[in-house]
Amino acid sequence: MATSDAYMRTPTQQAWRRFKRSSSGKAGLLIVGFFILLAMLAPLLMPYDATKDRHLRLRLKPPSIEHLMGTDELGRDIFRRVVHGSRISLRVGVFAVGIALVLGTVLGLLAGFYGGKTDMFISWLIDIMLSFPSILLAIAIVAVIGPGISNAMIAVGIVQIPVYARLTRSMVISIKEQDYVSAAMGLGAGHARVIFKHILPNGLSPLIVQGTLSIATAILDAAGLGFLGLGAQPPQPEWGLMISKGFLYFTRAPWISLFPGVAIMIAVLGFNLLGDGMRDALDPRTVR
Amino acid sequence: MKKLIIGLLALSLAFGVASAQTLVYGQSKLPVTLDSSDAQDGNSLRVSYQITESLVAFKPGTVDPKPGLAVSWKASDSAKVWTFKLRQGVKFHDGTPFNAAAVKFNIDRWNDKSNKYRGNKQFVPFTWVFGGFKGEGSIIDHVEVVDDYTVKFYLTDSVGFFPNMLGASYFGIDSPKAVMANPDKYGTPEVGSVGTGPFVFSKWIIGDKVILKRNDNYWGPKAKVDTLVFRGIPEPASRLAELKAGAIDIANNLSPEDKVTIDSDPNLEAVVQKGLNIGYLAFHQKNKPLDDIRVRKAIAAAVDWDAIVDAFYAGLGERATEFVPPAMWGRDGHVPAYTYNPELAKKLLAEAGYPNGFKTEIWYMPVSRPYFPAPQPIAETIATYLADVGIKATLKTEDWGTYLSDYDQGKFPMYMLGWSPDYPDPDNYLYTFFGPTPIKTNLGCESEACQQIGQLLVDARTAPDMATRKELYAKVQRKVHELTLSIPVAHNNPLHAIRKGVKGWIPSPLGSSENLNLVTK
Repeated sequence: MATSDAYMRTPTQQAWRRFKRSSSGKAGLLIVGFFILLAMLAPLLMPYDATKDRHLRLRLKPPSIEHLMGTDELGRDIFRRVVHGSRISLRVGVFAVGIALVLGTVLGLLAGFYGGKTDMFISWLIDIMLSFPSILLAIAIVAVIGPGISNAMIAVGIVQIPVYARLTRSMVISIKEQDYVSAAMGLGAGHARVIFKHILPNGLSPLIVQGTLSIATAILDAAGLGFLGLGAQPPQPEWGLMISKGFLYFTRAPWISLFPGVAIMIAVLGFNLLGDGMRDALDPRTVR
Repeated sequence: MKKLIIGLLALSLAFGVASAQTLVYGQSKLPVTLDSSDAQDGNSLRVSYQITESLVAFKPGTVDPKPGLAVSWKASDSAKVWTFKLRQGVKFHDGTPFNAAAVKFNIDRWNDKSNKYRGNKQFVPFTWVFGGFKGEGSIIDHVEVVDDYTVKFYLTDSVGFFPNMLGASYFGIDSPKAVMANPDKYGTPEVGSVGTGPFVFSKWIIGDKVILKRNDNYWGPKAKVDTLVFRGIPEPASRLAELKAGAIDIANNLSPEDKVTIDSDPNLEAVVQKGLNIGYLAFHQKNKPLDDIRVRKAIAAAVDWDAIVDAFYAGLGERATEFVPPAMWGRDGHVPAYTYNPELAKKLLAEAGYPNGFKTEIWYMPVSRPYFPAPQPIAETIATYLADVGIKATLKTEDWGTYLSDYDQGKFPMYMLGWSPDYPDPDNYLYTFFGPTPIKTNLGCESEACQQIGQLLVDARTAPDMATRKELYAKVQRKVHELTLSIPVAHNNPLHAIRKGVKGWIPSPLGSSENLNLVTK
């Protein structure tokens, strides 16, 4: 019976089954789901305008029932800011990875499929980018295009391009030799059709896994830029920025920096666990 | 063998401690330059003050002038010609003698734009103090070497407080030989500076520290420590943490809110300084609509300045109403404070044609300063008040060195800045902010009213008696308030801390003129 069951399942069902068996995947999904829900419901449940938020009489109050995470140097409720910070961090994570995924995959497809000079040039470009420490490269990019949250997003995205380009390139090179690709070519399919209909769909799973994992890196890098004053600008409730601002008051009010730090930790952990689960589900060859 | 090594180690340690004492000073930034007359910030001047000395000095912790490299001075009856007798037997660190020719060399280098030893320097502070360069408003016409140890300053007009001006920490006398050797690079990390002071420039490790060694041939009280190290630690909290850890001996300009922490630490001692500083928010009128007086008045009324001073100065600072602090003469004394009145602000904005506000920028300094211990939270608070009346102010900052060279370019619509005096005279505040040149460059105001203010300050500078000067300064402050050219925010009594055991450190009310040669550890 078991064999016939397996026979009946679609690949998606199989993947979902493997995902359900991965405990890290489930934990990750739970955490990420929680953050996504938080980010979507925040404006409805507790509307917030960072540009007007100020309660100077309530400055530097420790955590209490009223202010679950205490208040900061302007008397702002840190809980509210951390919750709204999730909107910024998730957006940065998703958009940055989106930029990297699209550009990186295109470069990788071109390099892997055409080979020769194209491959040499693209690989050379990627090698250069990989030779920089990622946060340093991001700082350099922001230094050129100017600080700000959208620029930080672009910078973090650009930094991650080589990862996808490499991954896609190696994937294309191995799939290119498969019989079904030769068959499609033999039947007269154009390059674009072969690349997007035959090669890309068959190599998508490692990209999805990598995408989930690098959202975590992107959140961390963006927070790093915020901490350095190059990412989000005050008074935005960006987690990294909140940590760096709380630094001025660290001896007296450590909670200002502590809670955004915890939020970053949990979010990053969530995406990493989810990524692990995705790998278990989509890439069965991986030895655990 | 092991014992021997330990013994040797202990021995060397014992001798090391006894023979090589190092005092480490933690300030918010490393210097921008050590060419004092080209330096605009206290962090540069505090270091250069240890290396180069001015003709006139101030008694530690006070604003009372005392002999520096000059032993005495005398004015002619009109106060237009000043004769300075110089200290004899003083040598620069490079061995060349300090004499009248060296003084003339330095003054000419600063005053004369065609002097070939200026290098690529701007000498902006010289124009703040003396009104411009030679032929462009400088009150110094020329300097005459009478004999080896006598110089005469010929002024274009009578100035009764001329020695105080020369005592400003910008005007450290540099070794002519060292300047001539490399005018461009003089004062940079590569070359450092050469003066007559109690410490000799040793090494400047970019981004890390500046190391000075004791000058064993110093003419005055020789330094009590062998090595003096300056470190730049931008965050006040990090400065305090390093002080607690014993990595630095003196941490200046700490967050007022940390006084409790310092008092409760048995290894630390809080030092509250009597401040003569002023922190203000300036408008640059090249940026519309800030050229409209109604808009400026609206901004002044939109913000609860009292609440800001209460919140961010932890009781150590006081609300400013005039640009000269209460401890100094030259105030009107009756200029009213801008009161918090958002309704009035909205009304004024509507009258000016901005019923829904407008977009602008507030620039804040990236480092804590004596007058603004927490610039970013203060800027954020100001922005929230402005948002209440519809003005969307974006918060911006940039590297401190760039900030100081950008604010007078009109790049910042609104900017936070402040001042600790260089010499004890109201002139040093008001002329620096509202003199004929600064009022144009720093505030972008070229209207007739502004030109009048500039002229009043020129008149006050050369007025024969105190009473007249006092009246002129009071008038200037009333006019500045009427026109709302800038908003005075606070006078602060800065908080510093030292490790217990550090003795003899007296912070200067002039900001950076500290006599670190008197400090023991």
